[in-house]
Amino acid sequence: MKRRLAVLLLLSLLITGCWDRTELEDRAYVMLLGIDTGETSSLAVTAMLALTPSLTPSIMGGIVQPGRRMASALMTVEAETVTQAMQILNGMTSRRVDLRQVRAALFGEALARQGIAEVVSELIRSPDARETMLVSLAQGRAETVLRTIKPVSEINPARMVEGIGMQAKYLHLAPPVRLHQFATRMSVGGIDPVLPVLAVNTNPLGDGGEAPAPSAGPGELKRVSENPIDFVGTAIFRGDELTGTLTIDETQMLLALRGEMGKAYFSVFDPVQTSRQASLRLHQENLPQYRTAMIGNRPAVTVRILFEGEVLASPTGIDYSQEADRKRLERSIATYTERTIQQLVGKLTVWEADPVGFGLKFRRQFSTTPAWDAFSWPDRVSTMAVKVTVDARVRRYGLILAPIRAHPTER
Amino acid sequence: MNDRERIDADSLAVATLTVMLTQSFHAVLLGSLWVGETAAWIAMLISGLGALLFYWPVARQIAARRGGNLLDVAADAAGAPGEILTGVLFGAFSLHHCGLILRQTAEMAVSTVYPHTPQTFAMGTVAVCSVYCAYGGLPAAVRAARLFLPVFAFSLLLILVGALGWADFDYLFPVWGPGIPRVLAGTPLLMVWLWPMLATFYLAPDQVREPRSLPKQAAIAILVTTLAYALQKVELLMVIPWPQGRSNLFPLHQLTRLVTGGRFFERIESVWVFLWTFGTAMHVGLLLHLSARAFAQSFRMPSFRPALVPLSVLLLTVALFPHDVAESITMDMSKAPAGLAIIFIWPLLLAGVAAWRRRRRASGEA
Repeated sequence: MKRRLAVLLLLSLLITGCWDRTELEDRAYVMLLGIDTGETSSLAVTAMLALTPSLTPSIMGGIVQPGRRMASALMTVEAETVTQAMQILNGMTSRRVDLRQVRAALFGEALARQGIAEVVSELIRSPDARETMLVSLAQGRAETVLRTIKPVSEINPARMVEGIGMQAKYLHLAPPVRLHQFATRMSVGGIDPVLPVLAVNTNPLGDGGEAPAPSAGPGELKRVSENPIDFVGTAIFRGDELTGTLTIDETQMLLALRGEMGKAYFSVFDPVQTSRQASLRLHQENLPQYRTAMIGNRPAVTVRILFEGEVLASPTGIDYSQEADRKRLERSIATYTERTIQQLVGKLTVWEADPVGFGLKFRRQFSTTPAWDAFSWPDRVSTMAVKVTVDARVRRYGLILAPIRAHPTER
Repeated sequence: MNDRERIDADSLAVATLTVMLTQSFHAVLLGSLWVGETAAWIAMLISGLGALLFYWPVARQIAARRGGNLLDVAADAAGAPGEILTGVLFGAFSLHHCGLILRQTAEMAVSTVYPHTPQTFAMGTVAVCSVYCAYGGLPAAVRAARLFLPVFAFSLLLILVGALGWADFDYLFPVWGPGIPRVLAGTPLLMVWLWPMLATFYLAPDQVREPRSLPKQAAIAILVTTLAYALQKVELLMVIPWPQGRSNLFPLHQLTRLVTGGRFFERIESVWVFLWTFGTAMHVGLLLHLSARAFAQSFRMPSFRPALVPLSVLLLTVALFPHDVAESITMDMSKAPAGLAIIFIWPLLLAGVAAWRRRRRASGEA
């Protein structure tokens, strides 16, 4: 028997056919997919195709062309479905358009406001498109973002989008979201999905515009760069429909409420010199503690969050390792984060969206689905009362305790 | 049959466990989600324990006839007609089950990693492998299962652990899904998912070396399978929650798509094609063998092997009968009441009558 099995296994290596072979030379791989509302059809689909004939592999996993020119081409077509768009694209290329290498999909704002369940469902149904692809919202049109994007430290725009998606996992300027996670949170009652936002920057340095806000939203970063695309902020959905966007600080607090913040960089106004800011790295050590109750017909949530901080910059020259100043800073962090969370909750109740998953905490208290459905959580989000207590503790000060001061000089 | 051709009770239990685990990749378990929703894993546990309750009295009656099987119990209870009826019912139901499994495997291969392969070709290949397994007989199937189980169990564990990063505990609530009455009402029909295991334990004891130890080994195998399936359901519900999961045809395949370990260890679902194919061949092979034996014993054929030829044709006919994979799943669900009657009610009835007649005979002799 063992000998027969061994022969069968060996044979299976020798008799591999070429029935389902996929030749690289015959394929046009889509790396990024932009999906917008169309003018004549339901969708306008923009595909960023890898120009495989002139590609050479780079060490960092990106795909570059000699001479550092773009290794991709953009094509936009209008269609009723993504599949139909791929069919039309097939009629425009000599290679077969293939979705198996899609790194990220961008949904246009107008489409997201209408609802993206149908498109998400189509992508999930497809055996080619991966559930692990990153998904984002494009502020404005996805096509515009894809045509504007100019990678700075990458050659390949798809690698760039994937890279900033991965970076979001550590820096929390925007939440990294995969297609599977979006589909799951869209279909489960008690939580709403979110997307990171890609936006064309409208607030460049030196244009004499407004002073930088303490926390920027999508497209509002005060900066100069070759790449005009910002990858900050969060798009909030109610079911599958876009309701609004959050700033960086609100994004970080949203992740903190979900227990997903990990470590994030943060700046708060100095408690003594209120015009200057101190920069810290906040670390969420424990999961937030929730208590839920019904006060009359109103759902009430009490959340307790613990942050541990590390001082990274103290431009005011205050030595925060001294107990009195440290406690002042801790109070300042707690006050600022509590206020940001209340501001976030205020937005969510207006939008009637629950990206935190407060509903999931209530759902645990129901023993059956019909009872939970009768509770009608989406209708109660707007009446929800959330009380937040933040406990901030500054524990580390980088490599020096007190700021280094310059020698006093007489002028 | 000489003693060398017989198999150990624990080997048979291991073989059935392997066969049951191969079923994890098929859509036959979708019913637990429809019945239990978020309580699918509880429904799974209850149905497994319920099946054990039904199995135990029948197993004792079979074990009491050393070297016999359910058909002998049927002969004791209702004479030759009872034996023939039982053999035909078990044979036909096993064949139907095999046909649907075969169809679902082919559908899964074509819908996922082999989109350009003609379905009949995929189905034919697996069918040929299955008939080869069935022709080898139970000892061959048991030996193959012993070799296959570690590979399969490890791969299954790898999928479950690899996809754990996507899990969310909150998706398991509300605990009782559609409500306790609905879960309990649907659970009896779910017990039919244990068909391959119970059919083996009912029809194969005559080939077991120490049939008296079989009930205990079988009970352990049923409990282990139930636990393994319940754990699978827990993870599936946490990763692909209800209601998204209710329309997922190949949930375990989707888990393999979600397994990622950096940029190098991903897109590995094709690796599992070998396991699906080999597992299905083993699953269908064992049941086809039992089906052929049931027919052969019922109609007093000297060997089961000639029966394999018409049965393989019927197997392909059943596999090709549903219009699509959705219809094959619907057929699977709709045959559950019949399955319940054949695998649980009918053997229990036979065991009851056989026990009563034995007692009467014993008291008559006294």
